[in-house]
Amino acid sequence: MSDTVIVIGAGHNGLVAAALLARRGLRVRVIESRAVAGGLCAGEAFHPGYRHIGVHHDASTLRPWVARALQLSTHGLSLRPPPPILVAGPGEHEGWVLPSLRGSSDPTEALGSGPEPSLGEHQAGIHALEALLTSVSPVLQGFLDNPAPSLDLSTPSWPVIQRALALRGLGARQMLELMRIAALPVDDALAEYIPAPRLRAALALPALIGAYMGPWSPHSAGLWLLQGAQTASDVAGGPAELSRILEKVATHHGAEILFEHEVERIRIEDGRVEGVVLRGGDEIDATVVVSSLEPRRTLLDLISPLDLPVQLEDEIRCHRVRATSAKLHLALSGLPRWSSAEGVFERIRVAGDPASLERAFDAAKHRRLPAAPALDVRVPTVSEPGLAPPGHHVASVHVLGVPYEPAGGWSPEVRRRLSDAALDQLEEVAPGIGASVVGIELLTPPDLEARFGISGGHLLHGEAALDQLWSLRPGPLLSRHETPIEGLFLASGGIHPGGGPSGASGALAARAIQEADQRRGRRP
Amino acid sequence: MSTRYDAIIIGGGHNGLVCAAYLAKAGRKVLVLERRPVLGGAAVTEELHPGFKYTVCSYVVSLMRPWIVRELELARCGLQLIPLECSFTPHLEGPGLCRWPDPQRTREEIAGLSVADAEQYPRFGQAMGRLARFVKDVIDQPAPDPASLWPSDLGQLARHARAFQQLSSADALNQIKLATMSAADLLDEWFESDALKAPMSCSGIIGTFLGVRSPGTAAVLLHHYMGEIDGASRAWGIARGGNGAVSEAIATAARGFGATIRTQAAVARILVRGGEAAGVVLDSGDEIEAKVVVSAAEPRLTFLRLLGREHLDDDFVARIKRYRCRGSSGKVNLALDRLPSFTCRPGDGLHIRGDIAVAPSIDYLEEAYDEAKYGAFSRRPYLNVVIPSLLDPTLAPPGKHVMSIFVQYAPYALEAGPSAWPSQREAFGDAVVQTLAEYCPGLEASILHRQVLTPWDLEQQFGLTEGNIFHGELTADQLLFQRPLAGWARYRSPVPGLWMCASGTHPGGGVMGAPGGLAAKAILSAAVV
Repeated sequence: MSDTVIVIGAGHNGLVAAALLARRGLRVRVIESRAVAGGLCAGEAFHPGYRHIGVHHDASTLRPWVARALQLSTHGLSLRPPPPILVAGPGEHEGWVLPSLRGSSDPTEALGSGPEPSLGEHQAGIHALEALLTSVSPVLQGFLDNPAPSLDLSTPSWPVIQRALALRGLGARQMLELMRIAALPVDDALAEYIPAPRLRAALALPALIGAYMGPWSPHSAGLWLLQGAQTASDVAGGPAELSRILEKVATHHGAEILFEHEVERIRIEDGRVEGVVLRGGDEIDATVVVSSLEPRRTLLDLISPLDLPVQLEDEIRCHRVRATSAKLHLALSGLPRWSSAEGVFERIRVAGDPASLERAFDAAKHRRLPAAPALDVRVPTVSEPGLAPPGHHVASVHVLGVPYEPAGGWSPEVRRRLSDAALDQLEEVAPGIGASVVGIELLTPPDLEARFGISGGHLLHGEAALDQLWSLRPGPLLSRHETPIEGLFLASGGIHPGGGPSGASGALAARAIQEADQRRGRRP
Repeated sequence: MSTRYDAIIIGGGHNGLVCAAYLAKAGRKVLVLERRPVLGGAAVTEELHPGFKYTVCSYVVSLMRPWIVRELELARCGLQLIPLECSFTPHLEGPGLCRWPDPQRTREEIAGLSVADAEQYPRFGQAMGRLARFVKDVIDQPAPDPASLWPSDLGQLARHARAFQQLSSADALNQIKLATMSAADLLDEWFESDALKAPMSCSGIIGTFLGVRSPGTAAVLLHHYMGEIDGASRAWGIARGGNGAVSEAIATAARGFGATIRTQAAVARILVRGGEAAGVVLDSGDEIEAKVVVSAAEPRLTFLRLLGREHLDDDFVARIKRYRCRGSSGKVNLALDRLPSFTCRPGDGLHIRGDIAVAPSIDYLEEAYDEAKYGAFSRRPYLNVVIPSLLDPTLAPPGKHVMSIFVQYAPYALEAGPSAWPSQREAFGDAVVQTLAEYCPGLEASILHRQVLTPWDLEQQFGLTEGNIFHGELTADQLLFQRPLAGWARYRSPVPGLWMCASGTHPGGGVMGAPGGLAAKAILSAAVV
């Protein structure tokens, strides 16, 4: 049994790691506490007859190299251009239709359909932003797609030199520009291209999901660029379909998934992994354990404090996981009609202006409910009508400006006030939507924490911030996926390169395991 | 047009004077032109109420580079620094917190809040001290240029890289964290007591339109550990005679080296001939010629007002217009009939002979910032109070005192626009005095005279664009090789013969004199004069 690899958690990263390891011929057992695979990417029924496509509702962050490594397209992965985004406003002429700004697209993606972008006088500004993103993305992708280098400074580090050279390869002017913009507040950076405040707020919004920042916080432009660089083609069917395909691929290569089994403890002897103990007392021996759980949980809950080196504890306790958003799923009896544009839209942003977006962050910061939460909306039934009864729809909504816990706690009354505030925001841009709501599921950060085991209810397994990236995600000892505990590897979004449904941390963890094996001369 | 100077310095602030002194010391014929009747720019002492001398704007000295003090022999020119030894944070309930010159006493005081924090406090100081040594090396040289391929620049980069490499892993990690984190987050990693973290976090926000939770503010925490007075590090101080005495000492040095200094000589514009700076035109219409013109004014003022965009290419103009100068602070100076007494620690004592920070909690500071973001001054602001007359009795009549109150936040751009400031000035002053009076009742009744400086006043009176006390925000996008703009961080400007020498250039603001000194050295080594 010594060749068994245990993967804890069947989210996107766990499944990617499991599939890559099983393909190498290792015996892989994935242990998932829930009855479905996918974790935050699992599509689930939230109201009788209505399904969502995951708590994450956008899979365009899937890294193309991960999809290629697992040949996901031969297993049914279908790529398409991300659907255009409606920047919804209250009046008829107050909306725009945005293309998705992204760092790369896959040449094999299917042609898109749907509304054409309509940007009016901002066409040139958006094109210039696209050009900026296109030019800097290869450099940023170099950071995202390779293992984080060691911060041991005693020897010159080739990966660091490589990244520095890539940065220099942009040319002096563009390199300096990237360094300048990355440090700016995202609203200041966008203002150099887009004079319309409401359009800027909508552009900025997605970079703030998972950041403890508002649009006026320094460094948020850096996160915006990274997110753009990470955005590629959209996965048809969204995160739910991605999870289904990854589950299929993992089992195809021989990985076994144990559903509704929960790891209670990782067994460690003399600084070395021996296996896991399941809730209920069963034990499974293994020389390698890969945890795709959020890293605070792995280290602080699954490992006995006696087995955890104090440096690792210090490092993980500094990893910040303050959530600033909740998730809302709406079952709708009809298609929302947006007052600012004719047509059918799958992706909609309700962001107000930069000041109101900043005020939403203030609310989260000071543990209040936001008066006007910002919303990132997806209506997946536009392309997948089967998710709801005929003629009915589903709206999946990230609600920004929500603290982990408001002062006074989450009473049913406070929960209702939050969903009402979100619905009021929607009603303003889609009159009549409130009357069409037939079912609501609100997932506050503590709900997400309880259901998915993510500390702080943080969707990215840890805040996105410049000091929580690369070799510092979550810290120099743990960012390289291999840990100082022999046989324990980490494959969560809380580890480099982070982000949403990308599969990258799982793939880099699988690579780290292979390299560790080669180092020990065990396997080819 | 009798004399032609080697160099004209626009602005007699401390950096302009330092630059002038160095150029004069090297034998150049130098003229300093100051618009106001007093020298010093934002480092001035003025007697605005009979017998009371206010250190009007900048009020402490710590970063004054020791090499400048030495090379210009400022001590001989009358500069005397008195250390501020205590940091006191009054609270409405409980005894407040005082950090003393005696480490053991500080430890006992902090232990009253948290025993763990008392243990951590000296360790934090040591870690910051090690990093400060690394950073000092960077601020005492021209900014490294990562885009340059010149061997000398590559060599400088390599030297900094080697110095970084020689830090221990823990120090290197802290250095990266300092450069990227918020002050509050960084302190959260070290300490648990909010009452301790709040006053410590303040040094991360001074002069910046950011809150203690804004990323990037941790970097400025280091400043507290970089101060050097008489070779002793980690000390802040005041100059005997107020901060104007710093400027006076530098002016005395400059005159001693032969520089000419004129006050009430406002420069209307920079004279350009054949695409090169050739001198200046005064408000009076007089033209004065020089081989080089060095501006100690803030960069936007220098290029857009004094030079004129017709002499610059569009790209440069667009970039300099983006240079961020949002003012965020104000100043209230008081003449007091008697010494204030704090409820939580009544009476006179060592605790009020240092700096006194109204910063009761991190949330208090962040709320003050949040209010200002939307264009209103903080009703409950962060205050940094110094009573310089306690240390230097020459500043006020016997038994009476002057109090300097630095206030944050006062946004330049009020919701109704910056020109609404004059109508809100006194309300702002009232908010400041009322906030402080909560901690020392009776303060209002002891006020003999009050001077309120809003960001608008700082701009109107001292030429600080948007009232930014550092000639441009100290954020990562405009520091080092990007101060004021990437490609123009070596004191030169796109117009031959025009140079920059003040806080809008590397290494930035604070009464340290480094920009002036480094600019002079750059001008001399370029052998243009």
